[in-house]
Amino acid sequence: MQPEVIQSLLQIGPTHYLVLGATLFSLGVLGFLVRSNIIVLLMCIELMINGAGITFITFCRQLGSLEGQVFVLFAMVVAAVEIAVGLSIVVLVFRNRSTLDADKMEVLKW
Amino acid sequence: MEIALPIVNLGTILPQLIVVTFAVAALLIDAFYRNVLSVFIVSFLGLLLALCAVYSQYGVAVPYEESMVAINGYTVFFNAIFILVAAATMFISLGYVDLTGVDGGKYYPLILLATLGMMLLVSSRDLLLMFLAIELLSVSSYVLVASQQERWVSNEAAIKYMLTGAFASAFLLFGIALVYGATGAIDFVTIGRKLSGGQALLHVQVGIAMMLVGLGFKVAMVPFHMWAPDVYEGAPTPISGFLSAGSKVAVFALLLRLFTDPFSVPHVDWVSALWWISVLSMTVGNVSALLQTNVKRMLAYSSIAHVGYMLVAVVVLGERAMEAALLYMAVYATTGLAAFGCVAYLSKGSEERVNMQDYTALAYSYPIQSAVLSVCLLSLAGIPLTAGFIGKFYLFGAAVNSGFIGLAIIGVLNSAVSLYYYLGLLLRMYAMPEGAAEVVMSHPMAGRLVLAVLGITILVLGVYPSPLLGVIKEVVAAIASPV
Repeated sequence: MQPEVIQSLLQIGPTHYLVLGATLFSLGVLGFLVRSNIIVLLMCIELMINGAGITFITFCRQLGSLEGQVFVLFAMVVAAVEIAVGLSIVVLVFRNRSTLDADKMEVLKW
Repeated sequence: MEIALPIVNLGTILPQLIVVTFAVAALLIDAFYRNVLSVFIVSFLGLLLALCAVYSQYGVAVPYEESMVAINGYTVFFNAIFILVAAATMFISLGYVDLTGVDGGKYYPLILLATLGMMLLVSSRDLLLMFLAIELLSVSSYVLVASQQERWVSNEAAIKYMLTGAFASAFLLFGIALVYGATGAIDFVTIGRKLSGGQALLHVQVGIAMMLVGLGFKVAMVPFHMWAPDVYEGAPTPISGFLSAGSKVAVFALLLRLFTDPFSVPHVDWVSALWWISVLSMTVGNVSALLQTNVKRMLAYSSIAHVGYMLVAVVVLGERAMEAALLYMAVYATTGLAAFGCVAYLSKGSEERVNMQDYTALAYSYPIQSAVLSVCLLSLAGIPLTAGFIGKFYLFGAAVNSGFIGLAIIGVLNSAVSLYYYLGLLLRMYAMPEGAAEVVMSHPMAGRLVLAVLGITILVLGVYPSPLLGVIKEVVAAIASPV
């Protein structure tokens, strides 16, 4: 590899942050599709939202506009709301069935 | 130092303000007095006042540049539909809530909050308000689906809805981030202007794709539809109707606006993908509905098929398609809500009547509900003299007019397939009774009245659609002029 390429890889720039955001998001998607514990699924969704947040902040710094940062603040609040409602539904489910395994939710199927 | 405060015109958001005020008031009444009837009355009063406020905005125009919440014919039209849907849902829930042990004190205010989400969704002019509105709508819906706490199917439906919904929201958020990164703006007008110049960047396309995935989950279009039958089956029946008539129509109205306004230029690259999604939604929905033995599940698959029909308008775009889409959504909101409402009003005590077998010869015990359900089924199938026929006629007419003849043919064929299961249920209800007639359950008068009104509306629109068509033409003409 040429020294300039290595230099640009070592210099942390927007690309690194965008890759980080996309990686977090992909890990979240992967985890959501693979795991079966409902709490872990909720954590994976958090991961996805945070990946989107990092992407927002990166673009926001790059563009020099504030809207992205405001968006991230709102997204954090929304994530918290979703988790709050999500966990309360999880409690309801656990009380009725004593399981948190998403694969066991199979009364409703065609 | 003088700080210039932005000028805020509360008149613009008056309907939304009324809805949120009354929702909070109703919640407080529930917290302090625990009287379900007064919660119901306050919530209904809020919707009534909001409807008046929406009506007063008819003809007013607040363009997207001036306000975060716009007013134009489109928003007024849909806000009125959402409020009417919410009010009808509340009436249909009346007997159901008492029978099935739902906590009415939280149930009615949550319907109001979900309605607020829908109203803000169609009125939003930027991606931020759009995202928040979708979340308000979704989170309220999760709780509404879970409101039968003791029933396992309701819990299971809620957990599935919540997980897929949050997953979809995360996709939507990432898509928004990419679109923002490419255009440097979050308001629709600027995004549309930035995208109109030249080739769209790769990350705009990826962003639109991810937004489409997120919104696709919310409207339950194939291949993102897997949650819908489960949720519609497990949710309290009036809420199934509310989800299919309200939240589906709201997100769809947004989808239509996104592709006519900010994403009109990238739309060209998306026509073939949308074409396939539309065809798949119709076909998968109808064929799966054929195989169902559970009525709520059948209606859920039928609603997926109807998303496919509505997507025809997003594929075609243009003034005629827009008119057809508005008509179709108004008709679908009425029909879908009435159909689920009838199922709720055919319950046997606290048991829901969901098996096809249990519908045999029902018309002799429950004449009103059966008649309204029959009208709904005929309208969903698109039989002439019902509103559904007019809707399909205009929709497929717009498709043919713009050269999408294949799409129109597939749509008509699909309607023919759907006849089989709609008419099957209809014939079963009017079959000759065998053995003793069952004991008739009495259901609240008010709800039955609302169902009858919905049924008559479907028939009247089918025979005499010109007043509604006139309003829709006016609305589309007003927003078609450059924003």
